[in-house]
Amino acid sequence: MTRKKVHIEEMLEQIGSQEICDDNLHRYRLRRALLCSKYFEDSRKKTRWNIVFSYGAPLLAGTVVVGMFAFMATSLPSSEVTFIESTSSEVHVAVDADSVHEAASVSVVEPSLSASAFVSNPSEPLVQLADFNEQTSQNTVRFIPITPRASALVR
Amino acid sequence: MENEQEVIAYAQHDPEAFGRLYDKHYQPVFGYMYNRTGNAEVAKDLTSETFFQALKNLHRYKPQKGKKFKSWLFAIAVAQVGNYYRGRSKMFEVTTDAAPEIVARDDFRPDIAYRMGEDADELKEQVDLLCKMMKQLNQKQQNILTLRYFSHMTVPEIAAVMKMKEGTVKSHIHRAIKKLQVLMLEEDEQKPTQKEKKRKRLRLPSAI
Repeated sequence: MTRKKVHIEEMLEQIGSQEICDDNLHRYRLRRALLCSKYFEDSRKKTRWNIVFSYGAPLLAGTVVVGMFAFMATSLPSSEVTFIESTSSEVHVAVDADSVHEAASVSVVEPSLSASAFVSNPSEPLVQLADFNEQTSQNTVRFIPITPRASALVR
Repeated sequence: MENEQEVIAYAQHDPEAFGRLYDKHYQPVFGYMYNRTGNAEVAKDLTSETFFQALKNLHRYKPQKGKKFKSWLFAIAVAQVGNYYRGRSKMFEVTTDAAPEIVARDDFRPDIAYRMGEDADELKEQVDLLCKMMKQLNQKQQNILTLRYFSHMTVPEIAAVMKMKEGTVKSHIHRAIKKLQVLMLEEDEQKPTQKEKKRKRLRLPSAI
């Protein structure tokens, strides 16, 4: 009887020692179904937000930096702005020797920020300014309709 | 491997961690289901149900000393098998003799005969008989024997799965094996062995 008992246990162990071949397709499908189930919905949302933040944060930071630079550039007081002082330059225009008798020598004086530049020189002759009010001629164009009916419509 | 408790803690929210648990325990659970039901398709369904239940109730799992995650998972698997057999008892039963095509399992492994140094035909007969007799045991005994011999679980692990004391598990195993012996002896006495059949077959032509 003991031999038989040992025999049965041995047989059970031998049967159990054989590996059962599982279905890999079922294994994969079940894994996919489990990991895509609604129980991990919160996790998926978090992952999505993480992706958004990981890509969006540098973009947002860059935009903020650019915006700040733009704001600073526009809001700076004019006294802080430094202009490069340019020297007077002579422009010589000589197109045709026959048609042009005089070579115009134009000297363009660039405005400078120095206070002395804005002060008029008393030794210089006064220049009479043109008075535009005297010669104001307002040319008004009136369109007169050809037909009386059209004129009524216009009115 | 990492601490399993940490993986379980992460597995409640992290699909990757749950995937690791699944990879580790799929084969044992499927093997248990297959051994208990004897049908690959049913085993697949029950394995799926077990893992879905595990995922659903993972927050309820409280790690205790001597109670592993494997035991907790197998407790779910045992419950699923119980549900399956309860449901099946209400259905119309088709015997394998009437429809042999529904038998998806061949219990006999020729290599066992080689290892045990016995006649392959005789051992096949014994294995078939053993599997048949195992079905005559009650559900509890079947579960315990399957967990012990087919899933290779220790007595403390089985005790955790079945929510029993270790001594109770041992006595169940002992009683189940004893019952199997009695049943097999009875069956042996009733049925002529393969060798006898062969002998009869050999004798018949000479007698004629």
